[in-house]
Amino acid sequence: MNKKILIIDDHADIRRLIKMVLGSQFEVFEAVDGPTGLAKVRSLQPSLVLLDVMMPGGMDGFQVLEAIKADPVLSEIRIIMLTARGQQQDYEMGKAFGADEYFIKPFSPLRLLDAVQELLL
Amino acid sequence: MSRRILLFGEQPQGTLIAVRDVVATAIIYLALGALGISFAIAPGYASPIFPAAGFAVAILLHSNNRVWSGIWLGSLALNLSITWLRGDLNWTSGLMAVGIACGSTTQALAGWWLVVRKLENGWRTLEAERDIFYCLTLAGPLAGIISASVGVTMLYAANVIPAQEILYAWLNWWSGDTLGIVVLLPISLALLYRRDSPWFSRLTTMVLPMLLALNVVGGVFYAVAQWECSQQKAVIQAHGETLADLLKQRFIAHQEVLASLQRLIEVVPGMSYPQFEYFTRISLHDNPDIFALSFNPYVPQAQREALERLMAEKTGMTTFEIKERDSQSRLIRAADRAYYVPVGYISPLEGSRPAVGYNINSDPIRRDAIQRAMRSDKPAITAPIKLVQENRQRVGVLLLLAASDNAATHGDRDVGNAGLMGFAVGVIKVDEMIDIATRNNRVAGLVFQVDDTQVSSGSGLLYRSEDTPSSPDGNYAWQTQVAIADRFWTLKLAPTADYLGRNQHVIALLVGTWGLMLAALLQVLLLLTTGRTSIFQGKVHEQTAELQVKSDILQDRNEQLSALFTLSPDGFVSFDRHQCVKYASPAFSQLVGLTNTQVIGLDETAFTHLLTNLCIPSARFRGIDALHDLTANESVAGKAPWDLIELADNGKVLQVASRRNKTGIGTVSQILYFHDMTRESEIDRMKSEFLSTAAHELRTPMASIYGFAELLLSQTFDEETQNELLGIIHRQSEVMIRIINELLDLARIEARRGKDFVYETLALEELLDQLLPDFKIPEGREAPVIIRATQPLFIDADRNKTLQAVVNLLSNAYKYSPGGGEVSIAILQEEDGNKTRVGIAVRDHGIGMTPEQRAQATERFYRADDSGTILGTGLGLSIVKEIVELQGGELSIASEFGVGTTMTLWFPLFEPSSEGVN
Repeated sequence: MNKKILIIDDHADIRRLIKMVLGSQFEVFEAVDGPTGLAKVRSLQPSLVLLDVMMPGGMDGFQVLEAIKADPVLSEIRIIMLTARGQQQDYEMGKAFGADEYFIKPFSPLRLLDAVQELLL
Repeated sequence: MSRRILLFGEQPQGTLIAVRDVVATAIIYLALGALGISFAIAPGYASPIFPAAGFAVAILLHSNNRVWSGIWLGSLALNLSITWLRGDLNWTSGLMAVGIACGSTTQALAGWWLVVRKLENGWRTLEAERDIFYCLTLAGPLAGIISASVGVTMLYAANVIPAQEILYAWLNWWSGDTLGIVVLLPISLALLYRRDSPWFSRLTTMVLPMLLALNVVGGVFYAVAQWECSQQKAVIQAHGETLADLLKQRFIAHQEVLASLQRLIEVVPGMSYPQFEYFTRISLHDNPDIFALSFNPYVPQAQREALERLMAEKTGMTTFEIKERDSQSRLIRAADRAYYVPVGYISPLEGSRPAVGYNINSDPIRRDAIQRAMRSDKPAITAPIKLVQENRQRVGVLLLLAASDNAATHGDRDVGNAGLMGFAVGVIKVDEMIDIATRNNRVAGLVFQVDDTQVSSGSGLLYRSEDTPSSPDGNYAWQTQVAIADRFWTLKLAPTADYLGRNQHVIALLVGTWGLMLAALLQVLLLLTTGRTSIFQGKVHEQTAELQVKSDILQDRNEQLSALFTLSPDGFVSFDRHQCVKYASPAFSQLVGLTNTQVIGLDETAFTHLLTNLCIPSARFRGIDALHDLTANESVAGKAPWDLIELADNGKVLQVASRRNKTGIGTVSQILYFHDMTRESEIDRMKSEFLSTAAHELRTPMASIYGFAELLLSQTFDEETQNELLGIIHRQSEVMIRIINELLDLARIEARRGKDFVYETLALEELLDQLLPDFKIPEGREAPVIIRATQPLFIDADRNKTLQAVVNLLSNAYKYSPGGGEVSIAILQEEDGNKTRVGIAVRDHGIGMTPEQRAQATERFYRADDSGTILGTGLGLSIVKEIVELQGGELSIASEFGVGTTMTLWFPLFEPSSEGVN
């Protein structure tokens, strides 16, 4: 059984790109905003969540991350932040909240694959 | 000084005016000259002061030599008037007046020339000692030589003064002119320049005291002259009285001679001629002024013949007859009369023989005396008679004393014809008698004349002293009546001009001259002190003006500084040299919220503490020392020499800088500077956020492009997938391009702030007509529905920018109504208060916006579409908003989520003037 990965990103193209990279090895799910994404984390219990920071829907990526880490059931889920916000403080914030990796857009899909594999395998 | 004030104030140039000036000058010269002459004491033409000379130099200086002819005329008129008043006006005196006028004018011109040459313009103020000295010396004693020399030469040449008086007259003239110049030149200048400094103040400080002093000198001079005059008169009177006494005494002596003769006749009536002669010889010898002594018997008609016989016998002459003079003055036998008084005995007989027998009673003058003698026992005297015995004309008088026979017998005289024997007669040569009487008491130069005042019409002249060459001065004439026998003689005494010349009013002249010299000295002193005062005043004025200028500059600077500190939006705090707060500007109080009373007097530590407590912890005030460190490191690159603090109360962000006064001079040790950076820091924050957002917006499409491109490079896909992925890359590239273009658009609009807008009158209908054909309607969509206005409406706007705004709205309308539906564009007009505005409203029936979305709609990069299906940059509406607002309009958004959106561009209605429609 392939491990489950959830992508939470409001951009369809990005979701498509990640699905194409990871789809062959993992079971990939999608969500378009924070609240939907969090709900799916709870229901799917994925091994890894790829989390965008700036999203519509009233919850940004950091809030979602915080919620996941705050939930003892979910806190072990691996998190990779995917964001266009490339400033150092964002990076540090993500790390502080417990993200495992921090990818800044644009990113290399192959290296993302490497990072996911490293985390999950 | 270009303006010329003469005697009548401001004057334009002109011939008439020039003539008036000349005439006025002549009149004043004449008046002042007359004043000077009035001080002259007779005899002489010079006075102790001649004020006209001073006026002459002053008026020449004042008129720059223009009115010299006025001086000449004035002097001529003066001298002609003097001679005319003396009655001496003739060709000689006329020529003399012309000469003196030339001399006076030359002197004034010389004075003017010397003063102007030596002093240049110094005479205008006469302030400096040097100027005063030279002006008065050159114009006064030096130039004064001319008129005196010319004048005295003229007087001498015209024989008015003798050679020995030349020096005296010259000195007198020269000193008069010199004093006149020294005294009157400054006074005249003061009056001529009475409106200018320093003369104006000299009117009271110099002219007034001088006039008073001159008045005093004049008064004293006049009094002394009067006193001297009366002294002189007293001398003359005393002399006259002496003369009168001598005259009287002489006559008393003669009366005694006559009385003794009378007694002889009464005692010895029948004496012989030799006896008579013997008796009278000594008297005649002692009194040479007695021309003859005689006894003239009283002979009634009845005794004529008896007497003629007796006398013939006594005289030893063959015949003796009583004679008288006929109308041709020939001696003839006397006609019959009631009585005769013939010359009987006479001594000396020699030379008197023709007189023997002459009836003196036949002559009215003698008869008058005879009758008086008959009525009195006192001697009677005749009026002046011409002595017949003399070869030359000689004035004489007869002194008669009656002799009567009963005087001897009864011891008294019975006045009357009874007993009258005859008359003792003395013939007196008046001139010789007066000469003898006054022989030892003559005073040269005092002439006198004796008249018998009882005789009418000029024939009463008895004596005139021989030396009467020039007319005696009537002022000093003195006369008295002298009783001579039974008549009164008048003695008139007068000094000659020579006498008066010898007895000058020395004291008056000395008093006048010395008084005037003192006055002149006073004048010089007053000039010096007023000049010095004026110089000092000038300096004080200068310095005051300088100080005023400096003070004005200082005050201006003060005001500028005060305005700078008061009005500056930046706050300043200054510290005194003890490092305590001395001053805090109003802006500081306003920015920081600390009042003056809270900060003034605080030292650095206390101030730092107070300010630090007002700041938020993350941007607190780190202290004045920290500021100084910043300032010291100013040169270190990238390190700003100031600190930024944020106040907790009002959220203001302030830039704080410090500058120390390193010179150690002055009272201010350092300045703290507070600049409100709230807005700047907000803008900074917004810029940073914008940058971050823009980067994010660019990173998103880049992520797709980069990611898919890498996939395509690393893996092999079937052609369909490959095309699909390339399509994504292409589409996202387009997004990027659009974002970049619109960012540039926005940046350009913002940077220019509408300055590159080309405003023109736009008809809205026409604008739509221009826009619609070019607008690319999305595939499968209907063209927009156009709702036109009922009348043409105009706005004043940039055509292209406005078109861009409408196109953006129209694009949005199609984009955000993906489900189709009608898109309309309407031209609106509505009243907004008292203004009319027109709008272009674009309406769609698309996804619409929630109120929150609508509020953010015009924010940059904001997009209402979360799905990502609608392409867009989120900048379009920002651009529309910028464009419309820069043109004075506004963008209004009405939207309902899920129903649709209406966006309206509002502009003020432009009503073109009739000529502007085309």
